[in-house]
Amino acid sequence: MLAVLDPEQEMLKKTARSLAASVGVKNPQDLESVDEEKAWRALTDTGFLGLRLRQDGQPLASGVEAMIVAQELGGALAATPFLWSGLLAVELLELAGLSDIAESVAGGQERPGLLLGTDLLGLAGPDDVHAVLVGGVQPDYALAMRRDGSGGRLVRVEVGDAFAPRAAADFTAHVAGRVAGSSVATEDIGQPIAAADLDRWLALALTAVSADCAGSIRSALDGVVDYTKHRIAYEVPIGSFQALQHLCADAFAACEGAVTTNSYAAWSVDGLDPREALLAARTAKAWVASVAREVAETVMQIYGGIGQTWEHIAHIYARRALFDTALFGGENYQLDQIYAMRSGGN
Amino acid sequence: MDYRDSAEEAAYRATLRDWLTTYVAALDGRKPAYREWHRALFEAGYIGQTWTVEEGGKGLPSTYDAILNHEVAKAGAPSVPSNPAYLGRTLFKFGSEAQKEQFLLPTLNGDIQWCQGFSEPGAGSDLAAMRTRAELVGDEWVISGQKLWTSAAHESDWCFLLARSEPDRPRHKGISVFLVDMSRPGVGVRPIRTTDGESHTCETFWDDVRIPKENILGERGEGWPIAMWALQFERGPAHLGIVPPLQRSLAELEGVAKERGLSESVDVRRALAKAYVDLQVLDLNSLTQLSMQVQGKPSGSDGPVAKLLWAIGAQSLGHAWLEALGPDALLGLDDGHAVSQYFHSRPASVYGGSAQIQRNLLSQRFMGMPRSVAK
Repeated sequence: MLAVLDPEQEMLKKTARSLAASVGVKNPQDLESVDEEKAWRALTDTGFLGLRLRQDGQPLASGVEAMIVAQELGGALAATPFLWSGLLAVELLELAGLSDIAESVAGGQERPGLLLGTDLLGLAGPDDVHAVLVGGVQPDYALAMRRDGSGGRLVRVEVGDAFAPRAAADFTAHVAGRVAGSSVATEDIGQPIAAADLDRWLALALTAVSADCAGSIRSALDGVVDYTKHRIAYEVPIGSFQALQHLCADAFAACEGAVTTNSYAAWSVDGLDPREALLAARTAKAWVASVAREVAETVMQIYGGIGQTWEHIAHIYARRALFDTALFGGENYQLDQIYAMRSGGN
Repeated sequence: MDYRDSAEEAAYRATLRDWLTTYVAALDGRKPAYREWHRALFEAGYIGQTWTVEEGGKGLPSTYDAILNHEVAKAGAPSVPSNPAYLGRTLFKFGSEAQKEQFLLPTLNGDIQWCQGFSEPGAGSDLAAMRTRAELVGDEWVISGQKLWTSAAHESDWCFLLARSEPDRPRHKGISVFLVDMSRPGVGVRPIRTTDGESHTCETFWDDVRIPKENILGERGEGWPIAMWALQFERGPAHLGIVPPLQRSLAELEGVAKERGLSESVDVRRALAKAYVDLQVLDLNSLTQLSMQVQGKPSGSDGPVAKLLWAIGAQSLGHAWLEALGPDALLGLDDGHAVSQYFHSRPASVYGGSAQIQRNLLSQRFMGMPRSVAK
């Protein structure tokens, strides 16, 4: 029992951090010049997209490695669909027994997006005309889930001209919606996916989103703490004011809580049975969702006037935190699910 | 990173479970006296298990304390005594050979129960403001003053007492640690009833208490760093085993809520789930903390973060008790249990260094935010 990263995982964290820095966003202006193709190649080259490829039925890397990469990309505000077109798409394809396609995705030869319901709680069905497409500027196709009893079938949905970009709140994400009146070709692919596997997939998704969010708010906090050491007011650095110190300390503890809970959830993805993994993931997500907006707001508050401007990075962090908070359910949703799971319900 | 038991941990857990089952069954519903329980744990080899062999322990990694605390709580046994974990360790690190000889074994086996004489009426979070005096008169130290929040003083044999022995030196450099026999003339103890209605803590009065010259721990004026060394363990929820009793209280509340049909309300369900989440965060954070110690690289910010998360978890649970019982709690229809649980959670952000002090420590020492110029 050792609840800390092992040396290889520490190494991965370093690699992920330097890669994330090279594809991340430091100012809102950077968003205009994001080279998504370059970022995607970088992710492909490091093998990050293939973390969940299977070898002899086992994932190449555990949920912990997925968490590490997601956290670093979130921390750098990387505008790249690692979660959607990489990690979670590969996991779905592997669960459907489509290893060849999964490898092709991990190798950068094809890029799927995912279809989510408008409540953002999970994968959409192929016939959901309101579904939103997440995953990069121009995915080749989308993956949807046809629920079938408690399990499901993976469905390939042709994107074509049927989706148009939406002005989503998170500027580092690409979201598209169906063009009214459009139709799409769909095709069930792969083998049926069992309910337990869907639970495990959701546990991975919740954990990865929580990690992205934790990385993002922690990095926002680091930025503003640094700012308080240099910004002078009343002839002293504002970081010497106890009112600000206490806000920052609470935010710091919230972030530490997020990382520690995410870590257990990430390990649980492969280490526990699917229901327990899902409970751990919902627990992590509930905590992250309960602190993320507050930390983002604290950061904006401490930056003061400059933090309220369009040109400042603070709202880019806040936007990412807001989106991550809502993905697969916010705090109250998770609490309801947790209660139900713990009291023996669904 | 692996949260699974290793083969050794699994074997340890199984043996511990067997022992606990046998012990609890033999009690036949009777609640053991604290000393009896302490002695039983000692004899079974569970006290000081993470101390080095040299210290009289078993040299087990810190993470074994997490297993011990959890299994003990699961078995419905009282909490693992925390005295040895921090005061015992401090005695070992700073004590003379004679002191180790005199105190270590009885501290481990429970023959000596300690209380901690730190806070005073005028020195709570600002501990260094303490005024209790110790004066060397001939071969004896004469101690006079008053202490507050001397928990379990009424059931303790010895006190680990801080007093100002060098009144002319700067305030952090004039304090020494004294080991005081609570049966000495001049020691007065008055239990304090806290807002939860319980009396676990005390006021203590020191009226020219005379103790032998050699009952000072470490050097004169070196008491502050010794106390701070001890407190790093006292603040660690991982060491104190405070998580399992909180989880037990939550389980009790969940039972009550189910039985009374209170969980029909979405607010109640969410309050219960929220308490679960906050306690999980605390528990997992403790495990991370212990794991970092096993690796010999504690992060420093651990202590304040853990203390803040501890208060959040405990108080979230206190709120859940109130939320779940609602008006019944306020009308006394549950024998005052929920309100008592609520008030029991309030000091969690005060004792062991208030939440505000923890925030100061965290921001100034670990996040590098500048100290204010004001004194």
